[in-house]
Amino acid sequence: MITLSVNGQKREVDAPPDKPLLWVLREDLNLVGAKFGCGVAACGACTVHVDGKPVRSCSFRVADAAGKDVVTIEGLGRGRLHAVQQAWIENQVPQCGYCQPGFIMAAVALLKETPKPTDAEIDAALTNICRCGTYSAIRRAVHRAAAILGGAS
Amino acid sequence: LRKWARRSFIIGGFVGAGLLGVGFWFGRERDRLGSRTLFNVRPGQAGLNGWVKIGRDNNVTVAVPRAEMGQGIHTALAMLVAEEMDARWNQVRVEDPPEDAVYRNVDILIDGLPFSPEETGTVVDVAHWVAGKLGGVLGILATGGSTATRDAWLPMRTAGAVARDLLLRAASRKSGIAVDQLTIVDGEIRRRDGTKVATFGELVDSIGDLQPMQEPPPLKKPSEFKLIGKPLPRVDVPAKVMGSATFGIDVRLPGLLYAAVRNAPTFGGEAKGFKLKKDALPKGIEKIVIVSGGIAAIGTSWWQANAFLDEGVDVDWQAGPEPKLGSAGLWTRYENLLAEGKPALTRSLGAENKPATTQALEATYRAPYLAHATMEPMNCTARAGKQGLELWMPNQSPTLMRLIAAEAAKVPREQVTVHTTFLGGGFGRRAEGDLVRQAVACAQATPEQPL
Repeated sequence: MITLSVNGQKREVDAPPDKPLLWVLREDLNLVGAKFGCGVAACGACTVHVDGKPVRSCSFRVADAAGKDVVTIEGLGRGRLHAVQQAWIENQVPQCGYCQPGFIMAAVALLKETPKPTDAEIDAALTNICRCGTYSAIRRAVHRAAAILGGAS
Repeated sequence: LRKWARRSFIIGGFVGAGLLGVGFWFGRERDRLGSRTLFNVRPGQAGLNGWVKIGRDNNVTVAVPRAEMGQGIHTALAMLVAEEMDARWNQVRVEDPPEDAVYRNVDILIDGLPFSPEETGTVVDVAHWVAGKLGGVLGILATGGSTATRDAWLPMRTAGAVARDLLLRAASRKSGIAVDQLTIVDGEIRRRDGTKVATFGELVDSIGDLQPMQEPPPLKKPSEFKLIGKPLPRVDVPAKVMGSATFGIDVRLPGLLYAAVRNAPTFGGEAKGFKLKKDALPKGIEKIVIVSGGIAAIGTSWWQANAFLDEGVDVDWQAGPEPKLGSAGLWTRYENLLAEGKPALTRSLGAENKPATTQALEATYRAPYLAHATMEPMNCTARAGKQGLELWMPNQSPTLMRLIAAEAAKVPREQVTVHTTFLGGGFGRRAEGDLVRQAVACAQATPEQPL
């Protein structure tokens, strides 16, 4: 049994220690917001937070999350809309939408470290892949989220 | 090559059969209206026709029989209906309707005809006409080729206009005010002087036995459009931002099993047989199944099943007809065809107008075979049992998927149901049915259990 906190709730899972966190979330805990894309930590669709840091959960052993706080897209706003999600809706970012939970989790982590990122800092930090090509909308939304978090209405 | 040949054959068949059967007329907008009970009408809702229903919660739900893969088609199609019935945009919802011929895509067949856009003339016109009629008869649900809005433009606006008329008559019956004294503004029935008569939600129980009118009312002129042509918030964005949008890979059913598939390493290859590296299957792996074009491991975890295919199974692969096919060989073939093959299409740019001095420029342009790579891996959820076959999948043609599934399962088409989820990318890859055959084979190996 591996014990971890997921979206603020203590969860116990009966899974092999080397099972990736992504598949524990999707198969054992029925949290399907984090997506499976490439399986080799390249596309970022599976990004979640472990102790506040973004990780590519397809390549992160569940044993390494034992005793830690995991936050997924489902728990990001704690029942409300997170500022980044609000900015994403205002800017109508998603197209097919499959990669967006990963992008949003990566953007939240970026804004914690860098509250007012430049375009270059956004490009350097968000290395996720979007096949629809929503990158420019994502950049606009990150700037807008930075403004909301900075107190703008 | 095989695909193109198949498509030409199908379309050739349509045109041929159509030429023999000239004299019938299908495909009028009113024939695509659908009955008031067609569109999943639930308690607290009233169907207005096959394309739209209203609810006591004042929601207007529009049937969107095309796949949402990021192109915004759910939003665009909902706009067509909402515009003509004068609904308020924030009361509009969308839902995947059941498969029925009224939701067919006539335009995709016209678009698929083997003529270039430059070609005109009687033969082409007749072929287009026949394909239009037969598309209607055959009822193909499909999304692709930028055809969805073109196809829906008249039928869905007509459905909105017919729904508006029905609401006005229901409001008249409920209020005793003559129909010609009533209008709809912003999703509300009002008197001509602007006073409110009823919301849509308040009319759910007043529609009773009223039927859609037979001759559709006139549609709006473009200058009267309030929603069409305006940038409106997309209907699918909130769920996609909250992480609650259900893609095919997110379908969860009670007792769900997972199958991981290893496809043959060469085009057209098959798994001839396999050997387990250890005698018994480990806990969590239930079955190994040879499927068309590959082999699948079935178990309680996709991750475990996928790893087991690498670690626990030796597969005896039978190579496809072209085991050495690769990019370099393809270029050689293309070049040989260019040199010796018969032209498929020649274009004339009109009369030559040579300048006084000329210089010959020579260049070779190569465009690669593009990967139809979707962000969401190809997937299909299936349950086979006494009740028939049920599929949940991100796909671009439920009609085609149903045909392929019925053929693979050897059951009548009527026993197959296909549910279309959000698509994490489409690119035409999701109009292919290879994985349906694989999913059906796996589902039949675990009867009554969803997989």
